[in-house]
Amino acid sequence: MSRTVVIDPVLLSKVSKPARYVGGEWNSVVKNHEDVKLTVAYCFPDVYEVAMSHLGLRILYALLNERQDVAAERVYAPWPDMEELMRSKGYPLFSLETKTPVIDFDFVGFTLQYEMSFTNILNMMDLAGIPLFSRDRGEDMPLVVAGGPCAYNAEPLADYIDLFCLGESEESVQLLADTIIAWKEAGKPGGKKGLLKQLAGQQGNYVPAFYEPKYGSDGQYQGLTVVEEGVPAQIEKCVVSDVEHVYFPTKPIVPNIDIVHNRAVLELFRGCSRGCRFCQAGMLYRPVREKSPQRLVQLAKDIIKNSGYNEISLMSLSSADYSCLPELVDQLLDAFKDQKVSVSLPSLRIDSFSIDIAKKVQQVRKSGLTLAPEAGTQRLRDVINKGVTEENLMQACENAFKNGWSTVKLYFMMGLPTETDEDLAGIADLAYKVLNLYRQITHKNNGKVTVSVSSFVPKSHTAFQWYGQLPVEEIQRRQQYLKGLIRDKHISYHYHDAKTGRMEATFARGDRRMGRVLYEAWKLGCKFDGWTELFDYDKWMQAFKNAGIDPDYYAARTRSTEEPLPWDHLSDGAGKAFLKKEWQKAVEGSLTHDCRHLSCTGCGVCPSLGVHVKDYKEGDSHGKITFSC
Amino acid sequence: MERLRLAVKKEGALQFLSHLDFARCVRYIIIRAGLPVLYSEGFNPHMKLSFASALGVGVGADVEYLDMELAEPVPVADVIERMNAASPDGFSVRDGKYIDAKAPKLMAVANYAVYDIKGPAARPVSQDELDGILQAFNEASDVTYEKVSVKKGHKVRLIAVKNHIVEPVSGIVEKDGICLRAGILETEDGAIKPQQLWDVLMAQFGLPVQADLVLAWRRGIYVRKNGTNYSLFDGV
Repeated sequence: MSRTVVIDPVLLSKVSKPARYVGGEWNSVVKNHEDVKLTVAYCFPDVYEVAMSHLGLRILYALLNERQDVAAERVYAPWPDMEELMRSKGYPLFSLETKTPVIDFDFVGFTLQYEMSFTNILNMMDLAGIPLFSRDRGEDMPLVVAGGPCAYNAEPLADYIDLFCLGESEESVQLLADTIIAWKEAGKPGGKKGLLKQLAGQQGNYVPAFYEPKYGSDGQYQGLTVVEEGVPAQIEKCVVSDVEHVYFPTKPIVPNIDIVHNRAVLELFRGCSRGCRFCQAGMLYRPVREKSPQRLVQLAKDIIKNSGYNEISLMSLSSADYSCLPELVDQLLDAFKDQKVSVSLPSLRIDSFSIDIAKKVQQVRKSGLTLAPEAGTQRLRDVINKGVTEENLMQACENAFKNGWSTVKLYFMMGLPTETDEDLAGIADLAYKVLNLYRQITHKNNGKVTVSVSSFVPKSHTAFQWYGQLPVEEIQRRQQYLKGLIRDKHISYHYHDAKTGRMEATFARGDRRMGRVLYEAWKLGCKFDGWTELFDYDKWMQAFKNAGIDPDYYAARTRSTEEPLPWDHLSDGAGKAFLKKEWQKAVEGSLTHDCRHLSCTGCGVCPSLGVHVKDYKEGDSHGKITFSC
Repeated sequence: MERLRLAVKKEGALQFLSHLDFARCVRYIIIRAGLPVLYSEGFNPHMKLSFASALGVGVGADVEYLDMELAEPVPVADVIERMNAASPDGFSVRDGKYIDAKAPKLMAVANYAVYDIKGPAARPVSQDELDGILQAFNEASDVTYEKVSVKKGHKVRLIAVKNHIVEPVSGIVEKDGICLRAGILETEDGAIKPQQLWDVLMAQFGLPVQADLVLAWRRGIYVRKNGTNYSLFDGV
């Protein structure tokens, strides 16, 4: 009989938002563990409202639950007040569906969406009673697996996770489930190690225990050595070649409490090849693969019918780039015209065309427009390969203001390679130009421009992976410099905490030694580090000190392109030569075009993984000659 | 326009919802059930749906009433079946009745709610002792409760408890705590919360419980007139 955790309702009603912990949502799937061959606990290391808004885990949850022989359940990080209750009363971490202790599952899967959630992973394992370090977990312990974008630099978590899965999992998770079930049914030959050995041979799977890092006498990272016979030296991501027909859930879980993104979601396409040089997602999810409008409309109808949602969001890395967007929007508006269902477009491209679409979908309420020029001058926009001009921005804003919008939010980054004070002044200039344009067009003085500036974090697998992050003090100086340039009450200026960005950078480019820092930070009580009110920089500094590690070695050091990188063995299919070329072109300020529309630019993903760009307007690109530079 | 009144149950997972979250859940259920519900006009249309009360986080209810406006009549049995088939754990429609479109709002007529108020005992207590405490309360002619307003700068207001507790409170000792049964009358001055009655009994009558550890469960909600409780279906 499986155990369940029963929380006294009187106690539960005392914590904030107790509905986070009770499950029971519409379309959630409850199965009897006696009736299945494999139990999976999908864990998102953040609070319910954030976790439930994530599409990836919802896909895998629904997909595995389609199988008769698997029960997949959800586990989210308890907010500190709930954690306190659980620790004081001895309640272990449990799943939302059957309230089964996490430690009783066969398979515990964490999604790695952002570095600042890593302490929550350790904390969740601890609350579950699962030993944190892989080496301390016996045969009776669940297999601890992780995937998601941060798995591409797995090393900081290598000591804690048994298996990392790189890339898109809709297909590979079936093989993973089959492999574990077969291993269980065969009497677990070779124990857990036998299973991991088998899994290590499958595409996308990285078993860190089978690799050992080498460091020079100067402490410099020198690469990984394979220490288990027969496992690959290089791990290639999994990729879904047929995005049109890949599984997409049409019975989304409808939460009982409000969540960050409480609406139906339709994924238009995977990938984005605009090639912004700071963007990790743009590299990890290549190539661009679209779904057809027909398929999308059918999915949308099913999702709305099964959920009761009154809003459907068109999601992708850059939704306005969907080749059939006007047709799709027309068809959706037509399909839902009697149902009070609205369509929303979360990411807008900076051009006039994009505003026309936004106009269509926001027919009644004109909420603010959000555009992301990312940098303040053309020079710097060319360095990052943003590929938009001031003219594009002004045309987009002109169209918006003429059509009744009065609020524009502009997103920028600070601390980009080659950035000078002149580039920052360009941000203020743009904001003023946009505001003046509003005044000119409307003859009104009620326009509002919001400038939001985040600090740049160099990420692995990007052209900027070698670039050292600016020191916190310099970022703060630049933040204040820009603040001094914005003196109009119709322009509001927001910026991110530079210290959080620095911590993110240490993990984003960290090696296995960062695992020690993570452990020290967790012991000092760090958790929910992505939450401003809970992030404690001083504790993190203490953690680095306790671990004997200098954060600047990872965050601030500009690395040589010849230096072995801690993620060299984890491949998204793009070649390092391509990134080097992009890094060089960045410094020269020369642009790289989007291979979605023009010729192959040689990143290497298509030829190395055997996939193709799919864009409905450009036609079938199977004939495109792709190469790896 | 047809006005349909439903008696529904809030329990299980939904017990822990705030009123706003509960209302959103019900809207989703109505949409999934495909009922011809009406919306307000304007830029931001709202479903024509209203409730008898705002149940707080943690408060379950054997019965809550809601009114919705439909474009055309749908047989009550169909509505119940369709809504129950589209409901998450913790919600069910128990009964329904079409009412006069001009009938006063539920919120305006529902003025009497009966609760079970439950919490662990601070020390072992006998049924006799509990009966004694409740008898003292029931016989007291004047009981006041100091309500401290969090929003209005901690202003203190005195509430005459007996204006709201008009029937004797009863209680039983259970193995895991104390369970009281009390009716609360809403007057033009408002009402008191079940937890506040719990606090009064603890602080002023020596009920051996902890102030914070209590949960209320609503057993019923009525229109109370001249000392008699009427069902909200009766159109009093």
